[in-house]
Amino acid sequence: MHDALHQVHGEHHITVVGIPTKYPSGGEKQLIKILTGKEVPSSGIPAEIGIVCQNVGTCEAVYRAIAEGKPLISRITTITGDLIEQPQNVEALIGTPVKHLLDFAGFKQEKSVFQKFLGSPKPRIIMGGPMMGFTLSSDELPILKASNCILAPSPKELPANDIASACIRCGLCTVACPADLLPQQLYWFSKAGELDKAEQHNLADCIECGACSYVCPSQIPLVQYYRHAKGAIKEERAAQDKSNRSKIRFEARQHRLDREIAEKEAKRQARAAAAEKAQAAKKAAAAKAAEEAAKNGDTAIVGTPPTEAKPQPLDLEKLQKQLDAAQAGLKKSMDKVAEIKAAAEASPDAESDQDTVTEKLAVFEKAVATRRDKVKLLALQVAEAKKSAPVANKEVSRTDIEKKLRAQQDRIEKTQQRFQLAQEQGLETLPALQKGLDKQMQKLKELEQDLAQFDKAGS
Amino acid sequence: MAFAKITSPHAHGGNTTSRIMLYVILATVPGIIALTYFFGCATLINIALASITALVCEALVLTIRKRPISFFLKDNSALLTAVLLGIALPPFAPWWVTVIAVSFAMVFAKHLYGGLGNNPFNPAMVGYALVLISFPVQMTTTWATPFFLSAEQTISFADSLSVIFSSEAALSDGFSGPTPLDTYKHLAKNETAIEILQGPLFADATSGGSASNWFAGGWEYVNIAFLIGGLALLALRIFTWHIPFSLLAALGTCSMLFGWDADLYVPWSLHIFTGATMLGAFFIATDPVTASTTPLGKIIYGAGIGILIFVIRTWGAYPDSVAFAVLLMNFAAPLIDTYTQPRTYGHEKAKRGLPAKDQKEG
Repeated sequence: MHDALHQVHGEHHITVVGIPTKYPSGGEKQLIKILTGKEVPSSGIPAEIGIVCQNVGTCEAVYRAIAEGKPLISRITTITGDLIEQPQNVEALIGTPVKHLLDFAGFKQEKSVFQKFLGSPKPRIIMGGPMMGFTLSSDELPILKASNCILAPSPKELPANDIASACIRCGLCTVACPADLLPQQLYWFSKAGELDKAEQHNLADCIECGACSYVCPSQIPLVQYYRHAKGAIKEERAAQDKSNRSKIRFEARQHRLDREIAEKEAKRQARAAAAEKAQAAKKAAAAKAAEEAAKNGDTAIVGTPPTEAKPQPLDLEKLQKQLDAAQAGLKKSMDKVAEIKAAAEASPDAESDQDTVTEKLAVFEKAVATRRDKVKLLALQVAEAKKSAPVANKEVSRTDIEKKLRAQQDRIEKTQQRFQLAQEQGLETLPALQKGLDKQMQKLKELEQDLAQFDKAGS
Repeated sequence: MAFAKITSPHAHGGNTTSRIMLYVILATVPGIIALTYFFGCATLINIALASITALVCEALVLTIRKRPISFFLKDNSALLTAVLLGIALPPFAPWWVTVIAVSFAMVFAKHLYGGLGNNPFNPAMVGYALVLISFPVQMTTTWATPFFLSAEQTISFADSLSVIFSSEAALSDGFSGPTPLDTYKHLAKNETAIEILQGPLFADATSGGSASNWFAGGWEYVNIAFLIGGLALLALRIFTWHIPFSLLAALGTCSMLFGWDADLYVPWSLHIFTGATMLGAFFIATDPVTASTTPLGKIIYGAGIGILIFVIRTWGAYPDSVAFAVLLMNFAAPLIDTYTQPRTYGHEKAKRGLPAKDQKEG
């Protein structure tokens, strides 16, 4: 080869080196170590140590592409194995069906009578070498640009593995391993599912060359164990990545939601602050205006007398009307409360209504309370108005008082009826009704007193 | 057409476990011949008895464990254990000692741990240690005397049988006695080396038992025979050089350093060439199942055994100590393996120890 190169090129920088035939010297990493003594860093590429390793076929393809402009449409493939009549190297177009090549080289398909009788195992068609090649499930598959060999071994040539016996830790695999791993340890770890330990023992640096399996006296399918462990590690890693990603996503979402809430809160506060400011400004303006008005008033005191100072004539009639209206409202509300309570009493099982009933009750009871307050206030005002102008009403008051007295008596009667009803039903409103009744009685007494006073004054 | 689908690798070297075991058994043949020549055929009877016991025990346990019997019996591992025990036990040990040792080795030391490949301790040595501790009298006083020292020229096969299988210990002093190592150690308290070596046990076998030398009569040839068998295994690459050589180097160094005065200590020549030294170095310490498996680990493991052999022989109560030394280092083997991983291709440094716990969770 060296001489041939010399003849063709004269001066050249190519050194031809012979190396001992020892599997897997053809592997890129192993070849670099043998030729240069350098090691490709773990999980790195040869370019990192300044080396490019090219296959002969690749070199040829590069030459054809550059020198002749030919694209990669074919490759040289070896067809060999005991089942091939004429083992040979062929230049095959990429895409050629394997069947075509097998037929071309003569594929012995017929079984002998003896083999038929025994039912010999199915033949194997391997793409690639006997150590790292993969079996084809069909001969219809095409040649690819990486298909360096089609191997059709007889079952005798490459017998299927026996049943694996126990690992005796003989260490022959350790001696054979080109990556200086501890295959027997990796085997135990892979088998036991101790993936962390397998990783720690550099499972990832296994090149799956099969040397350990080849020398194993127990015929353990070691490479299959490593492939499985590698797959399991990959899966575990993918699951980890996925969960990490969803964690990040979830946290981002949570962050976004929090931020939105915070923004809303800030806006609301800003609005509230603005409103407060506006109110404060208004107040300040009003205060200023009042001050100014007061100042103006001080100066205007001499001119116009203040209107507020003038006592308003107490409109007794009007107040009385208001009081009557308020009392009617109060009564109405109280009736409503009683009505609701009665309804609730009638159907205590209607659970779903219970809430609405209590809600309604609360509303009406509140109304009753406010109305009662109003009535009280008005009654007070009426009383004051009467006190301040008792004489003015003298002529008409007699019938008036009588009317009121009667109305009050009616009211008391009604309240008493309700009180009785409440007592019968044992309602919670009883004390309230009692109070109301007491007040009404007091009022009745007051009215009676008024009447007596009026009669006294009249007589 | 349908093709078989099998993942790579498709080729296999054709080596088998049973072949490895068979080679080891065959490699003991020179040693067995030497033993028989010097100490009579009692050793052969022991080996036969041990083999039958081992195969019966193995078959029984496999039946109980519901494992294929012929598949496991064919791996020859039970046979190897039996042969090693048959060699290691004293030739005139009563038959029940052999049976107890072998059955304990097979049932407890091997199968209770899960059978071949799963036992942490060397089964043969577990059996040996058990009977050594349990029956010290039978184990230490029944070593055959070399033929040239006994009254009759050879001990007949029938005599050997009757001695081994008789219920009473019908041993005459002419037949058996303590081993040279034991003798030397005890005599060294009172006598000088020259005086001790005048004793019959240290006579030269080739010169008809008259002249004395620095070896024990007959023992050196037995050890050389085992050495030859071991070197054959090494050439066949059944095991690597690491364990036997580090063991012998450690034992030799220790005996030369500490035993420089032959008047006080057993000289190095007796350490290397008497007792079970060669058998231990090439056939027992190299049991792959229970030994360390990393290259550096094997050296540490072998050296450890060598040092322990010397320590127990010199300061311990037992005359020979290969069994205890091996068992003690069996304990250490997993730890040694963990801390002696070789540097993997493409890595700057070798990894040591186990994966860190936090790494596992992170």
